[in-house]
Amino acid sequence: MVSKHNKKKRGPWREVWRRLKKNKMAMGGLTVMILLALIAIFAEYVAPYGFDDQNLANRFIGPSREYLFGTDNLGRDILSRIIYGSRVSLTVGFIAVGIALVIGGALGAVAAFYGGKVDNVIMRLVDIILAIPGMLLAISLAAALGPGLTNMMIAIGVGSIPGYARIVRSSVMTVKEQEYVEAARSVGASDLRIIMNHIIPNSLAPVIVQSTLGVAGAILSASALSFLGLGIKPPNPEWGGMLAGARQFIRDYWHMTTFPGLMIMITIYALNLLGDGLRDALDPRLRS
Amino acid sequence: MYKYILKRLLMMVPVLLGVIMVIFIIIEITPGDPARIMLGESATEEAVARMREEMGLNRNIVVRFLDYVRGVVLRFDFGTSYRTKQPVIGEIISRFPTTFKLAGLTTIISVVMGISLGIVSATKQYTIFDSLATGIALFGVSIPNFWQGLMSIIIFSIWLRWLPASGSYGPEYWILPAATLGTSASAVIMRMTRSSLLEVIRQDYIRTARSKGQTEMKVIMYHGLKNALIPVLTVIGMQFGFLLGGSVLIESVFAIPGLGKYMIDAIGQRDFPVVQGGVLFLAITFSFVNLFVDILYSYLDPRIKSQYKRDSKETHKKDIRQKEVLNGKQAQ
Amino acid sequence: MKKISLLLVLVLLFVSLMSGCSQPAAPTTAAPTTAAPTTAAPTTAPPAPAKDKLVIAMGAAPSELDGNGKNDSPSLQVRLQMYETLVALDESMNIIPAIAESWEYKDESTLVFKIREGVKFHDGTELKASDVAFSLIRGDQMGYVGNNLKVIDFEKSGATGDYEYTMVLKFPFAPVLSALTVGAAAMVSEAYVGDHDLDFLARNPNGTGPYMLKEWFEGDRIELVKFDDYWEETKGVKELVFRFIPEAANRAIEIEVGGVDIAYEISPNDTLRLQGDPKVQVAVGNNLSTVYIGFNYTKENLQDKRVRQAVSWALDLDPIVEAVYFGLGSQGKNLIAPSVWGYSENVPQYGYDPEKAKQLLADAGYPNGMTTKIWTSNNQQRMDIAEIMQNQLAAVGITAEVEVIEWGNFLVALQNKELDIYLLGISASTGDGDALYNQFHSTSPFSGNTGYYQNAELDALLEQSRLETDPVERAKVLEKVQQFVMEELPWIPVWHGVNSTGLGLDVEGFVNSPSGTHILKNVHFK
Repeated sequence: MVSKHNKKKRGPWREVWRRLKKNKMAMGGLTVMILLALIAIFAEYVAPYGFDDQNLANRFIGPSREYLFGTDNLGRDILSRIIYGSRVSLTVGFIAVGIALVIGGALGAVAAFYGGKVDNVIMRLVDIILAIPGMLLAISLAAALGPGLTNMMIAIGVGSIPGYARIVRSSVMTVKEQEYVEAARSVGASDLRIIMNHIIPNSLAPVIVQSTLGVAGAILSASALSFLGLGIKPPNPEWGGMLAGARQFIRDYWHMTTFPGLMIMITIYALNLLGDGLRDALDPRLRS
Repeated sequence: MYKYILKRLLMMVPVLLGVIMVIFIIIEITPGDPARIMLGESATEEAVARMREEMGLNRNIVVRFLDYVRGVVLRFDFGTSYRTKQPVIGEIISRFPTTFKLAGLTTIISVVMGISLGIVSATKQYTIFDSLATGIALFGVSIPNFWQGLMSIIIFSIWLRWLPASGSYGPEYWILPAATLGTSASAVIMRMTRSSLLEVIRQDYIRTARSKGQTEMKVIMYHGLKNALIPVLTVIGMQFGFLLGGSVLIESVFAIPGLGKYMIDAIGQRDFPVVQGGVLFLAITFSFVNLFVDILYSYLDPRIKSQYKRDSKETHKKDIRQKEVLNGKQAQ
Repeated sequence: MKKISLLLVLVLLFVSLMSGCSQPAAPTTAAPTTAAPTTAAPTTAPPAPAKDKLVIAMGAAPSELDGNGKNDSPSLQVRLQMYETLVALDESMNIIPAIAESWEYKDESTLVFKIREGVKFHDGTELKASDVAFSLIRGDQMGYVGNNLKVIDFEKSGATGDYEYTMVLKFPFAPVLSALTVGAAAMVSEAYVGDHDLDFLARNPNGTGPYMLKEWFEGDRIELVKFDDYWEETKGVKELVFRFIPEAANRAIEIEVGGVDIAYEISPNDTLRLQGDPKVQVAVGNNLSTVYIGFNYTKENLQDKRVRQAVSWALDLDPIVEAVYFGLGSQGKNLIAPSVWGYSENVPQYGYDPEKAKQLLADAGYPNGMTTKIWTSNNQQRMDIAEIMQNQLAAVGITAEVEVIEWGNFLVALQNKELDIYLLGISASTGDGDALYNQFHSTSPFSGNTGYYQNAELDALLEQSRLETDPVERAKVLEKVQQFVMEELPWIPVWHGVNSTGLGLDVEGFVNSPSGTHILKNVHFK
């Protein structure tokens, strides 16, 4: 039964991929993201210098052959810091969304699956978080938990739990009524099994779109936290932190803000293109 | 309908109580002694101890929680700021017009930009115009707010000397901050307009209108937009609600005395009554804006009205998705 | 098409509505503007032709305007235009008369102050010696003056006439006059304070200063207006407007585009640029602050002075000061700033010698280096120093993690003795070398003795310095103290700071106050 199910599943996903491939913008976004991921993984091999190689004699050097993106106020190579920074920034983005997705998704799925009182209680909890402005929540949490990468990811992640909870809940509600779920239940499959094998795979579409855009939002939130002095531990480079830290030099040394800023923009842009493309590809109504 | 509104209002009560509780818990685990921060590092230990007693910080958290709730409900008392010794509600209300104005202007800019770009890209789907419009809108989402703000100050205030760099003393002061926030917010509206219009255009009645020989412009404007804009309206409402929470970074960059900046400073200074009162106030505002949008929505789209009697949540699937996208960006 | 035009009309309507009510917070009393009142609200933007309003950009809003209230620097920057202390400090840190016209020592621990006659509070009542007595007691009790007034025996002190105040000290204490200059010990009216509660007083000041409060626009600015009955003729302008602009870069921009007339706390890199700008003046003056590297003496590995000295030898401070402060101010040579009374140059110095550092570490029992942490609050400059330190310490085998925590959490960690090596700044706000007592005496609270340093020999020296009434002798003892701490290195000095203030070209009469609380009563336009 499982294999049969898999076969059934492969069909629609291949169809989505086929549609996505036709969307040039989305493919562009995907390519950029794959490239970034590769850079992040192989940072040691790509970066010309270490991320903390200070040379106080070589501060504020503009882009040159030796330092492609110039150096910062401590004489560190900006290109290398951006390359290592992609690791941190992408991690923050993906893990923060991951936290929100796992918790929010679980809450949403349980709420929808059991309905009634459980649903009511869970959704009110979600409403509570939703009613607190996202940035305020993130900042209060960052202040409460203290500094560090993990805490930053938690602070950013918690605020987006409601979104995933609601999306998963509504898609599960739709899926739950479908025939194959009824069928599985009738042959005595357990709740957990039904959720894992049937409901989650089939309500993935909106979640994927939301997550793609969510990663973009998380990277921006990280830069906002850095702006407010709640960033990650130095000397680890993170794009938002680099941008925020360089803002005092924006008048004198343009390259210090421009390159980290551009990297953030390119990444967010790519994720958005990909997200939009996925939405179009996954939305059956837009089939044409 | 009234029954529905009443039900929603009642539902707000546990949510708001929950908000207070969440904030109390976060504050409880936050390191930092408000009495110490308030008195300054050089204050004597005895003075700090006396202040702690005076501020009621030594009482049990449950007692403080109940006390607070009683104050809010019975006297509309949101507490007194540790730092300035003034009632929190007064300070919030004095900042609210500023935030309201910034939110309003930002919404206008994003609506004008978002809807027009959305129309262009939907009517010219898959053309260069579509890509261009999408591109412009996405630019706004991608650029970190504070960077854009700083750059626009450099360009428009320093180089061109067209606009003032910071403050909020007249119409010209609002242009840069509202435009900075507006460009990012417009992308969401643009997307919503685009997809919603695309959907509507495929409907039968549009085809009918076209076949009647009306100009394309007329068809889109009269028949298309009228229906396509309904979901867009929800997004606009949501966005306005979020903006009322204040945009911390932009307020900092442009030295605007809004709510967001006020709250962030309060967190840094451990001015907990301000944090509590502020978050509660924003949560109430947000809930009401939410309710208002839902009601508006049901009036505009009679199909939905009937469903409200059952459960309002289901119809919102799409809006919520948009809302979350907004959430991420507004987080800045 | 109709819809679009309708939308446009709506937008225009909204915009005009907004601009119409663009300044609901504006004072209803007619503010002097030249523009037509219907189109533009009163702005502080350039150029206001009749220049009688000085606009000052500062970093944060004051907490309160009670004369004995919280003594954070934004509060004092505004408050000390409205209040005065018994005696004051001039720009070279000399004690000058203020409310007290003159004073004399009756014996070693009794001081008689002659109070200036005809000094009026803003509410029109006259200041008497009884107000002085009341203010000092209140200042001490409110707790914001720290230990500064603890030496006064309030039981025995008091008004000995309408214009005479006799102060009895618990023991002879030479730096008492500079202690009286602390901002939170300002003179308030006994009657006025008695009539109102603290919440009211926080917002409704009644001092004797050259300016009085006109209006406080929450979160945005405070407007002061000249007090006509001030006891002295001043050259100051009619109105002062303090604007709160949190970003340092923006304060620099505002002074550059002429949006403000004075901008406080300009960052080092902006200072350099503005110095090259012919349209702006920059006043750079020494202040009383020293940024230092502290060691938590309760941590075993930091108790050995050889370890602390090793850290000092491992650091190349010159490029640090250049990189972080762009060469402004001066490299730290001592644990009080050069402008503080009693400062001595005759103290042990450390250079940059990694080999010596390694040797000292080995002697102290760490031949293979050690592991520690460098803590700092999220101040950009200190974060930069920490990162450079981390690099330079690594070269001698000290592996240090940098921990950046928010100020509120930093204070808690400091109080709980959780820090290891940390970066902090200290300001000898009264301008007297007695600050060293607060910094290093074993009984000093953690706010002064941040490293919990304990040394009986040093304690004895510090106590001696307090009892010495002859200035020359006192300076000698203080010099010994400085030599002692520079040898023992409970802290390593990094940088002696400056105040950098941007001024419009037409601003005249600005005097840098090392304390950072610039008095603006004689600042005017050319």
